[in-house]
Amino acid sequence: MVDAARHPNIEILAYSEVTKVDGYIGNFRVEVMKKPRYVIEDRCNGCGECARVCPIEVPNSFEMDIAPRKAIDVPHDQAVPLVYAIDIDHCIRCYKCVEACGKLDAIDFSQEPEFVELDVGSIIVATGFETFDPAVIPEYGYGVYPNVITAMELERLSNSSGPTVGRVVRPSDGKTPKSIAMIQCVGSRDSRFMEYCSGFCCMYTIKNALLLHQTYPDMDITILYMDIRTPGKGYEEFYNRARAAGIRFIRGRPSQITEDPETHNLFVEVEDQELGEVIELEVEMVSLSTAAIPQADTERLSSVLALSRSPSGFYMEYHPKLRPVDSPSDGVFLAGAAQGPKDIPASVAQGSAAASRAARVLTSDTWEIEPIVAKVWPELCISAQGKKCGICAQACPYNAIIVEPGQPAQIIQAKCHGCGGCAAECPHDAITQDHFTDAQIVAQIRELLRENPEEKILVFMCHWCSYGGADSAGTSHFEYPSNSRGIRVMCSARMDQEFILEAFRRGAGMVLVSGCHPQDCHYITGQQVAAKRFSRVPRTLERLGINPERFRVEWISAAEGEKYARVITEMSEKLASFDKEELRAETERARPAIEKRLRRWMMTPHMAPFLKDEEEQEVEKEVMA
Amino acid sequence: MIRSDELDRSFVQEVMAEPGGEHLITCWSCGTCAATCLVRRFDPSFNPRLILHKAGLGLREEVLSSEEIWQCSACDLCYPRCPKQIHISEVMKAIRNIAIREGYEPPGPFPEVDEQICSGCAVCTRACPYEAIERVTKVVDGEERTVAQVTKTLCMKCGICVAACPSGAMNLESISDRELISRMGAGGWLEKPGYLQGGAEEPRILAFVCQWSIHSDREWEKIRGLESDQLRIVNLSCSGRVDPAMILMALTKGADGVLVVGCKEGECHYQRGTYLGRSKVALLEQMLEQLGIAKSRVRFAESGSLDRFLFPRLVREMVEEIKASVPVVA
Amino acid sequence: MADNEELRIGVYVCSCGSNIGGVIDPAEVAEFASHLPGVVLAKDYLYMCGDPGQNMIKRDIIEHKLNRVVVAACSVRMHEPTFRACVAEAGLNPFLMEMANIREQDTWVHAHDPEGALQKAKDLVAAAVAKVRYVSPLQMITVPVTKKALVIGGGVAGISAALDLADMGIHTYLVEKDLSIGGTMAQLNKTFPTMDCSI
Repeated sequence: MVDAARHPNIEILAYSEVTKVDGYIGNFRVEVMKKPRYVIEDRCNGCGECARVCPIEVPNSFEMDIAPRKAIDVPHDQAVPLVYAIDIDHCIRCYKCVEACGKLDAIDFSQEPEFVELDVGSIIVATGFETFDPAVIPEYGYGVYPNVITAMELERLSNSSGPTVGRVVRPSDGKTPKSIAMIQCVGSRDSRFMEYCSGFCCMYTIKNALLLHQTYPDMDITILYMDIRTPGKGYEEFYNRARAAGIRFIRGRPSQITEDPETHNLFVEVEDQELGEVIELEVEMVSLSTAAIPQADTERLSSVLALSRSPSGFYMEYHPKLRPVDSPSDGVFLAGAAQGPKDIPASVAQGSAAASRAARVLTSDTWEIEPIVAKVWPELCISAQGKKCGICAQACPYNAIIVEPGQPAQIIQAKCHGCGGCAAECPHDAITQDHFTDAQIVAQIRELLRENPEEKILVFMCHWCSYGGADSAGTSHFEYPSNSRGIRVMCSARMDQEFILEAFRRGAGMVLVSGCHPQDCHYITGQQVAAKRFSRVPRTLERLGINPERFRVEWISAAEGEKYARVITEMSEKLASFDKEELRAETERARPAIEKRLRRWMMTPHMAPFLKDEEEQEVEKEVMA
Repeated sequence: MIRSDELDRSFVQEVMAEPGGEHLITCWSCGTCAATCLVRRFDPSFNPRLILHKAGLGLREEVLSSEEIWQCSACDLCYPRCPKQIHISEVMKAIRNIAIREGYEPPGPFPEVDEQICSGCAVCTRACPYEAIERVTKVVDGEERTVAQVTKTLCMKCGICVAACPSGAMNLESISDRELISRMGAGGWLEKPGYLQGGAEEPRILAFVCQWSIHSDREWEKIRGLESDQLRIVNLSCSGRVDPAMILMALTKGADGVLVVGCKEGECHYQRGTYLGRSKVALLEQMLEQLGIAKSRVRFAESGSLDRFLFPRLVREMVEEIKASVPVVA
Repeated sequence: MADNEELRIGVYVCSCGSNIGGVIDPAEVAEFASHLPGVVLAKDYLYMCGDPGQNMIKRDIIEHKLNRVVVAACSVRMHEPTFRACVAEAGLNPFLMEMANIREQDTWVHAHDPEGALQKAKDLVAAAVAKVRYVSPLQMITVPVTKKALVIGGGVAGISAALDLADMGIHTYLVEKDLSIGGTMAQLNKTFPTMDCSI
């Protein structure tokens, strides 16, 4: 902590939050909100005179609320930076602190949130975790029985710099308990709450037990567990030490805790699995080893940074084995428990790993990014003909398109991130996207539906989420019917209604368009542009005489392999229920109207053959007849 | 020793194919259900975790022939606590359904219907929480009549039917009327004059306590220790088994107050027993007014799984209330 | 179609050990691909991403004057950078290479339907071949790099990352939402397995 504060290359912005991120790898612009401390950082020397005179006490969250702090205070003596702050919600404005501060004149009640902009080349997300609130498990009585505490509270109680100067005492009577039970997996490995194993609770519980044993050799300590998990280096040996020290281990998950209303002792009921018998354990204190859960602001920050989250809610890595500290966004990396529960050694290692990944970028003078950007066919753009349009500019999440009357729309390459939304939105097909051109996509549609199209589901997938979801179904080996065929584009915004119509013209049994959940979209609002467009598709299909049930929209994250498999299975079942002759007849009936809607292709570069080859076949059939 | 060929995988599939049995193999034996289960207090051999574990291993014969599978009363105290959200009583039911098909039967004794007295009124049919009583038409003493009949594979032996029967035609050996009355009056307790009759220093309380409502052995011991000339405790198989006639009898003899303790609503071991017990006491309270007996002399109380040492407080409160509100006659 | 150029497409079907080859016959997919328009050669190999596989592609590009390459193997999220680099080393623009995902989105999810998986693999390869007929060479966009870093979160992971970057001479902003850095670690009493102090 102190090393970080002293380092000339580190600038700490404490009590601050990242509110906005623009740009791309090598060139991020970040907006940070500095919350008002009501104390001027440069003037405060950390003497603490203000806190001494402050008459108001508030719960100190650093001490898990078991000890107070003043309304002007630091969370603890070793705080970095050692700058005081006023809890403005509790301050009564007696101004005693102003008086105490005197000549330093560091207190400033007029402070407002301050926004600063930072230009950086790379971002590391290391936002950590929170602990699960066990009060939602009524049978454990946390918040009801005073002597049931969390392991984090026990940490503070046993800490020599904590509120009791390291004396472990019972909240009910302030006495040191003669016996304590520590319950594992509270909120974790529990499908009612958190399905996953928090990983490090076994170790910190053993550590707490050993510490208590050292300080209070006579204390009767019992750890109640389902499995003890000690896979780290030196961990099993540590566990053996606890066994050797006489800590009692009982394998079994307690069903309930009740309290003797007079003594405030606790009765823990647990089935000892080795015995197959229920033990009623009377103890003077219980400590709950609560699950590590994602930070409350994970969701907010994930949309600021366009990060995806795993089903557990933690940030998702690009690849669990090969790129464990990369996020799906280029130039943004993950470290520590923000990516999943992790102990200190693993967090430090990941911090270094993320630093090294980021340094690849930051030690280079330039970086190469994919040239997948939008491109305008000037002769097709009606703005060039003096007509008013600008639909492309409205669809662009990055203000990368300039539309001036009399001029064709102009794409600013450096600003374009390549979602392809403009290309799909342009009503005149005057914009395309490099590497995902109309011709490239329509050529794939034609190939995928060349044989038995009415038995197939054509799937449009976005690169970041639903394609990743399909991959994740693969890595998990979630099987689903083999009649789906996927086409990958960068963003659901690229999925032009014309592609959907073309798929039906080619006779596709069903069409699925899939992309990121709105908060996960890698192109800010690309998903919204797509969602709006897709909402109109069913009516269009109905008008064309195509059963709208043959079309489906699903938002599937890269973590949702199970969902991808389920959606395809459901669609496949539905498709099986349709009469194939009827599907073919529907296609034939709708074909002329669809072709009328696609007639613009006759003028778009490379596109005419796709319409014509069908026509030629028709001519051929007529000749044969 | 168990040989690997005794582990029958098809049994696992069989249980999981049965409605309710789907989640059998998601159990990882944490023991939460076993530590919750109240049946274990009376029959330590019963262990829901072990039954699921054995079924998951495929120990077909051992599971189907065991008496334990019939003991789960579907009180569902364990279900909301299970970290794998397994509806254990449903899995038990699935296993039982297979056992029934294979011809296994639960062990007795079951309530017996005195067909000569039974009027076929169906009060018991409606009262039974398990739909274990149906009405059948059969020849009794040469005469075709409709009488109650107990389905053994569904009956949980709670005794609610025994208490419900208006004609005394239902009988369950262990909890018969005669048995209860003899426990109430043992040692001449009922014959001694009460406080309201001016015969005792303190009000004398008769407590009917549902055997499932006190959740720990340690507590039972402590409660048993409270029994004295002032306090008589009679166990009930269920608070729904309580009989208003017995309460009335006690009140007219030496009991100043009658306390009925049942499980907390929603935790009742027999699902609807608490509801039935409380309703009976409520009805009785109305009658008491007409008979000129103070309402405060009867009380129905619930004791939940997380309540501890609630019983002494309940007794104390009742004593205080009687002293404060009921005038001594003598 | 690309302008004034005869298409010479090479198709490479990876077996990925038994990951793909255990469900479908890669040789059959290659044989199917060899008849697609513009395809001059189609081969299968045990591990296309390994050196021998990549060398084979590079050699073919030069010897057979291939101007488009299709690799039917795993996900683009896995090996697109690998094969782009591979064709680039043989002088081909990396954007003239296209992948067909016949592992994650085919054999791994249709292991019990080998026939369906084979048909799907053929379709996906045909679609990739169709796409490369229309691709054009693209140049990477070079952007400058701001040599500063942002670390969000001042816990043990964030501090460790910030210190490493700072030691490399990179100016690093460490943003912490609470009043002090240190995170959960600062709240802990001694830490396992060494029992030393946390701060």
